Amino acid sequence: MSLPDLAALWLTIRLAAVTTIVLLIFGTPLAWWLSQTKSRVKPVLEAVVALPLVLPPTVLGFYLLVAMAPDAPLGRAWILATGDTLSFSFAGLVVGSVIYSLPFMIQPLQTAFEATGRSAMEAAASLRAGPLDAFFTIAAPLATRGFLTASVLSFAHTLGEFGVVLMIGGNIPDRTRVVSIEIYEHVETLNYSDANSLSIILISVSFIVLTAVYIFNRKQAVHVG
Amino acid sequence: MSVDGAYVDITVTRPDFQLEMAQTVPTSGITAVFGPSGAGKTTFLRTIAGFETPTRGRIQLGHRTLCDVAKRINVPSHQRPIGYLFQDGRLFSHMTVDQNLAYAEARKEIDGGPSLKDDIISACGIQPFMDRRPETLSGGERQRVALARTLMTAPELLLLDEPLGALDRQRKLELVTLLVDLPKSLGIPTLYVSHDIDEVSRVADRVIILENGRVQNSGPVEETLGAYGLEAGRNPYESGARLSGTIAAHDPNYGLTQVAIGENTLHLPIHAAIEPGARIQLKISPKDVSVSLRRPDGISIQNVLKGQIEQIEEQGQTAFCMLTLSVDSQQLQARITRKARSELDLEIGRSVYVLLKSASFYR
Repeated sequence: MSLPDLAALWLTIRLAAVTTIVLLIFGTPLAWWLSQTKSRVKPVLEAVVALPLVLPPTVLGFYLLVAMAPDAPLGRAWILATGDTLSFSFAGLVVGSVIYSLPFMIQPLQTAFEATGRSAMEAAASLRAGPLDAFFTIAAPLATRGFLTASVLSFAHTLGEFGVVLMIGGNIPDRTRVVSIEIYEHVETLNYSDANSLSIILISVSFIVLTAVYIFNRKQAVHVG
Repeated sequence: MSVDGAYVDITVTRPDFQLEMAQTVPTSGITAVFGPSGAGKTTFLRTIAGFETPTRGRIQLGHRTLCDVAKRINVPSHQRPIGYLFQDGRLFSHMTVDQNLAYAEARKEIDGGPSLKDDIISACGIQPFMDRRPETLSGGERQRVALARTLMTAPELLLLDEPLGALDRQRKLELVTLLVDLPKSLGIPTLYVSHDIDEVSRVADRVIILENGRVQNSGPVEETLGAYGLEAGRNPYESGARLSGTIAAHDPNYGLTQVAIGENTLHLPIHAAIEPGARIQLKISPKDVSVSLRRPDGISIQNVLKGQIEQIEEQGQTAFCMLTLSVDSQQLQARITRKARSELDLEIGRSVYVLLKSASFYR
């Protein structure tokens, strides 16, 4: 394989990893809130979270591109803060990927929190543990499997991203050219051999990661601590 | 303002249900909250613990106000000095038994007192499985661990929410003594929710009878349950009646114990060392009770009580009828044939001799 291919692969893995970490940080409180709330806006928010599952990535990418444009509020604020444009940058890809992979983080986490959350939190409160204390010592460890599933699915889903990246990131080597776009490039230029080897790598990585999750989930008990 | 024990005067409103009650929980002993499913017993406990918020009212524990809706005071549940034993124990499955206890101990309010950990562990009999995971324990073992864990926080009030509900009969017997003795020896006032009349009469000193979110009656266990059963025209003692008596003396020669019930004395084979003067409960099934118009002699049944017929119920088309008898102003039931009733000419108000074929006792 040639060098640009490896660069695209490395960029893709970095993007997936950063996206997963960002989603863990922002998705966990949102998933917790959704799992505990009795608010009337809950179904509305759940629908918003699930939207990326059904929308064509181009629709998502189109509106993100509009929002990230240098003359749009978000794009302008980003330029003021960092001196770089949000569109056609790695940061822009991360923003797009976070939204694109949001349901893959939120839904498994929410399910895991709902399974044990309230009753375990009440038990913790009856033993004088405050809400934050109880979350980190009880709810989060009990949701270990949920965290793992959510992280792996978010990571794997981001690996395969194409439409959103194409819309907001374009095709800039080392900056926004991820594997899926590289494959598209190879096919455009009738370089089927390189397209094939990259595709096989992507299939293998996704397959191994997903198999690992399903094996892990089959195990009866998860022990931590 | 300060109260002795706990004072609870609350209204909890739900779309399909309203709980409204004002009760004082004494500083010591066990107060049962008794009633059918859906009466609001658990809601009552959960509101005291702070898991539910009342729409009106006040909850006071000693000098602390835990909740006062009018003054917008609502202490969060984790800051209330209250222990809660859930029906299913709710042990943390990702921790060992030891870690479960340590979790509670690490968070108790520091008062400089000596750690009760070892005492609690040995009283609950859980040393053998300190290193085990909750899922490897039986239901009874789990509840013992859960009780120990709750006591670790040195609560000022203990709430037991159907703690025996998930257990089979044998396990219940094992646990019930522990549930009665341990909080008492630690001096923790206890609220005990149950829909089981057996448990309530064995465990509690006082009872609050709750139905459809309203208190029907409350007070000392025997009078309250007895009065309630008759007033409501139904019988909560369906599985048998209970007589309360006092241990008078032991007769080691025959292996019998004398139990005084009013002016009557029973001789029972109680194989337990109970000091004279102690109160015990006798459970007597209606099929083990006979009646006689004269004091019988030449009969192997030795336990005879003087009583009066209070009520006679025909049991449908069966050959039997149920007599409710008053013995030393306590109630007892006898199941006799309708034929016997008619031949002996038994009527309400008539004095009879009550013959007991067998009785089981509880402390």
